[in-house]
Amino acid sequence: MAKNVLEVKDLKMYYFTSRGAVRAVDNITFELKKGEVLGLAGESGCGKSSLGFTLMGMPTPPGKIVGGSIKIDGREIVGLPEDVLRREIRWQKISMIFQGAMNALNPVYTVGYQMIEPLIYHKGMEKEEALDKAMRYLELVGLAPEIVYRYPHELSGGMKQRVVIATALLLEPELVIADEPTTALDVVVQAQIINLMKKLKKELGLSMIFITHDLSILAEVSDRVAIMYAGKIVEIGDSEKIYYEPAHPYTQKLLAAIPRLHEDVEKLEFIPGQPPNLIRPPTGCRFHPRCPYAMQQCKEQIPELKEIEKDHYAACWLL
Amino acid sequence: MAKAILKVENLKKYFPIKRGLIAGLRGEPHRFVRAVDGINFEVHKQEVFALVGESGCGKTTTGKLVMKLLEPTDGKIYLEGQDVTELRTQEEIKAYRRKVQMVFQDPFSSMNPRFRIYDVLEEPLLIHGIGETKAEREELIYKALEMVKIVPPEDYVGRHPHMLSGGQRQRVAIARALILNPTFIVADEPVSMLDVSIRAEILELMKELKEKMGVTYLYITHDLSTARYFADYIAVMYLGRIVEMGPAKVIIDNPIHPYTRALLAAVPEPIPERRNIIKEVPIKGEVPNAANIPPGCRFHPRCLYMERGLCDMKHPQLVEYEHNHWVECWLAGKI
Amino acid sequence: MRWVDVKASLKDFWFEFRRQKGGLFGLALLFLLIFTALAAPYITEPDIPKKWTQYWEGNPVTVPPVWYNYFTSKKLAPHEVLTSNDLKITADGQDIGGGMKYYSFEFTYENNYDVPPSDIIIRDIGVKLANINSPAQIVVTVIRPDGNKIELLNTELREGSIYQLAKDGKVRAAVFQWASQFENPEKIAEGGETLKNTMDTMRVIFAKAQEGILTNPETLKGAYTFQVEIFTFTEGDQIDLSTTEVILSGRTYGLMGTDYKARDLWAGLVWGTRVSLTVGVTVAVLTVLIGIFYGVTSAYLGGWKDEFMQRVNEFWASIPTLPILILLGAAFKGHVSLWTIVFLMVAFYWTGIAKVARSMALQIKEQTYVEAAIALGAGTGRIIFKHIMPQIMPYAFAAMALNVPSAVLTEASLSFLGLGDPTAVTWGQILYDAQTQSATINGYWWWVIPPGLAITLVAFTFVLLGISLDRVLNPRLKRL
Repeated sequence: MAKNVLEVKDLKMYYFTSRGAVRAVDNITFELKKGEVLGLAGESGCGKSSLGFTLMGMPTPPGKIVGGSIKIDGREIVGLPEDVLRREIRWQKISMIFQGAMNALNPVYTVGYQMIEPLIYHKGMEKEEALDKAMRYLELVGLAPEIVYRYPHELSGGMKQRVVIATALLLEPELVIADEPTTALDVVVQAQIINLMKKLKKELGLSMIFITHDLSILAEVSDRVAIMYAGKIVEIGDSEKIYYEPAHPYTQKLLAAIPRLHEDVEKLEFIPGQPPNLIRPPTGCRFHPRCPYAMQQCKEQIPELKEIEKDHYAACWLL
Repeated sequence: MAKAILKVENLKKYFPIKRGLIAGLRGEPHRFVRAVDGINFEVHKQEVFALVGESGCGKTTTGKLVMKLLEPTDGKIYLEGQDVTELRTQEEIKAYRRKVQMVFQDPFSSMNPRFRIYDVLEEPLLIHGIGETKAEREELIYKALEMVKIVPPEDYVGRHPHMLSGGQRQRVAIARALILNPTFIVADEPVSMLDVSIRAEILELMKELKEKMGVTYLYITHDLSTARYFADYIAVMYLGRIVEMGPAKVIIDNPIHPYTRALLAAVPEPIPERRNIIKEVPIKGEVPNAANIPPGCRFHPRCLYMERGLCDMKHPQLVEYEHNHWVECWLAGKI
Repeated sequence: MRWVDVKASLKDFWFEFRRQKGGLFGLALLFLLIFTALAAPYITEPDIPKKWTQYWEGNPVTVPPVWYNYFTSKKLAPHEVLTSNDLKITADGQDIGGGMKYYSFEFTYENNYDVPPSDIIIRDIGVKLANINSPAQIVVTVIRPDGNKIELLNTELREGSIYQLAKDGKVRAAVFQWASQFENPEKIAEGGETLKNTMDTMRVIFAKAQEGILTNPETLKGAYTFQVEIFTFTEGDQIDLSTTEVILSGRTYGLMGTDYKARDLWAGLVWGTRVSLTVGVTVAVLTVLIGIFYGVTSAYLGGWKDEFMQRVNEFWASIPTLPILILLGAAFKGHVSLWTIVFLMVAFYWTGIAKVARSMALQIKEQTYVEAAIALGAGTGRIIFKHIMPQIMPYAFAAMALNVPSAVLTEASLSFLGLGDPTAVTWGQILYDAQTQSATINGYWWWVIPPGLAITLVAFTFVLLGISLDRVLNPRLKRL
């Protein structure tokens, strides 16, 4: 049994704004095994990006972790001081590919310079050695090693994204969080990047959390899928089970809303209403206002994740 | 045969690349980005015509040319038989704008963040002098919001765009486009920035409104799955040319051009069993710079089937491969 | 914009601005300045601007403020004005026969100071002579605390006569003669006429009666009673003592001292606030409005028109402003009004704002919602006023605040160089006078430092406000 590279228990992270506390991450529990890819899906505003940042130990201000535990490779990181997080955890144990990261490359420095910076800072490598490693990783992501001498504006969107992925892998972290890594890319480039992720998964045994709202993309890489709604995980399990036997009404509706390329769909289903306000979420099951099967119990009590079958959990009173 | 609402003939748009003083003095020739390089198509009444392609293919530029936000370098555009490219005076252009409206990609930046929803919808009315009294205008605005299912309208008119969700904003954008009762709507990636679960809703709405109001759509997108669902007719663009076009289902189920095939192969599909299998996408290389269009068939450097001596030297012509299905490829039907 | 929108924006703005401590402090200072400017007629007197260009009778000339005494060992006599209520009238038209009338009044001065008053002025005695050729007679005597009595003055009294004991030659002679009896005869012989002419009359009157009284007088502290007697000779002569004023010209005066025209500098400072605020704010507001209009138009027109407008802007901006203003000021020397200065400043300072406004407008022009507005059929006017300008206004306010200090300083500089409006009460004018009168060399610190500090205060206020406004309103910081 592969060990758990990530264990999250009862994690809570709230944003403290002038209008109240936004419960972006509200009691999240899950594990990730080594070499596994967990897909995290949900609509905009469900808290998936917030969860990503929280796992890195850097919730975006005014966010704060209010409770729960995050164990990376057995080590608890909640409560660790900032300098320890910076020196030992981030980029070395867990790294992140941000949304729109390709636009975050600094235009005045060469690609190589930006890549070797963490190697020199964290690992104390010499410049030659670091550059060498950078070039190797560029090759790994399918780029010519000479790219180290290029500036970001000389590269295409796909190339920049590959650079970002290479940078995230440089320090050989246990776990990589990818937050919407293909959203800004064209469909062909997107397919190439996803292929790259598959390759890295196989060659490096990469453990990854892949965050996106697009369930089609998720299916292409994930071993397990977690569906988030309003700061909570409503369903989690093996990919096949989720896609073919979705238990939670929300998952079912999400899947029904995907336009299919090779199927004739008369009318696409959609979910009426909007995601709820996270400052004052609905009582009971947060999905109940939009759920066609909502019962009285759903309005009053918050359902917990229950094991429906092996490796398949859902939080719903119908089950 | 349904009448053509929009007809585009040999439309071209070249953007000059600024060159330095030295280059000018040396007499170097001007270089251009050939964003749209001679396209022809027709859109019929109440049809949804999808213009599909990756970024840089010229589809957005085409949309802007139809909207007269850009002036063509060459070619003609006809709306209901009238030559749009010949319109000169302010009144003529304004009258044209009333008939052709646009829905933009980014639901947030397409509305002035300081405006309330009421102001956003009132603007077109004020510009074109529709509704003389405030009460008249208010009624039109409420009706428009109801049509896009923003109800009750009173609750929303006082809000600012950032107080609405992405889907709601896009609906307001659609309402804004429809409030003038236009003939034609150019929808530039209207759902790309929305969650997948919301796209269905918006596209459903647009379909419904097409029936109700008799509008015709030019649907610009890079997403073939939504194009299949929403469009009647698809034209695939690459580097400024239409390389294949035909009825939506035909293009998706029987693509002829290698580029179309590559696009279709690249579309992610929710089939988790294949997750460890590398997806085959029959294309190589990167999209070239539109300032340096390859000679011959512009797709040839990326084509896996390209024939030396033919594809890299002579530009293929658009041929009718089968009824109403056009392809621009020397190897059409042979691969 | 609807009122509700404005209210909501203000509320949001205030929420942010409240957190800027510097800004709040600046706001407090601003209120203080505005209050001072508005309340000027009440804090001082309402007619200050009118009499500013004249010599202020009744005030001592170039004396430091009264609180200076706290800082010095040699206490200086303050300025006192005694009206008839303060005078002890001992005889009011006493008939002494032969058609003669006798009037007398006295006042006692407590001299607890090391430096006595610089002058004693007796004036405004109501005199109506039946025959102008037959004036009245006035006798002024002082009884010193050591018992010595000096007859200071015995001379004619006519309508409008003013007696300044320190300057009067007769008084000088009388005092010199009296003092000579105490002084070393050798010194007197040595000094001769010069000694008499350079004698500080007042000091000697108030000096200890001992050797050295003329060369190095030491002040005698104590009560000095001054007696004034008036004789009228003609029937019908009328003396009205109710309007009499005795001014003891102090060595200090008021809250901020006086300048060479005996003007109360405190009044000058207070009234100067009006000019500084008005000029500063007017120039800042006009400059920014014009600059924004120019920049936005240039950006919107685009193409060669934009290029042309920018070249004009750059040309205008490269004109060295201060030297030109100085030249223009010198050309119109003395005939420059405050509004001319305002006009000139606005004419030169709009260029910087125009550049920034243009950049901002160019960025806004590229926004999708501007494109959407064009697609709807909006005309140029609507795009500029409904879409572009509202985005620029926040920057405009911050820019206005930050421009006030330079406007105030320029006006002060121009005035200081003598090219300002000489009739206006401005801090720069005060400094100009100080400079021409060599105030610094003479050590008249109260004339030089307070106006400088006042200018700094105004500049400081607006800098604080401007920086805080910029932090809150800067469009780079996208608040959502």
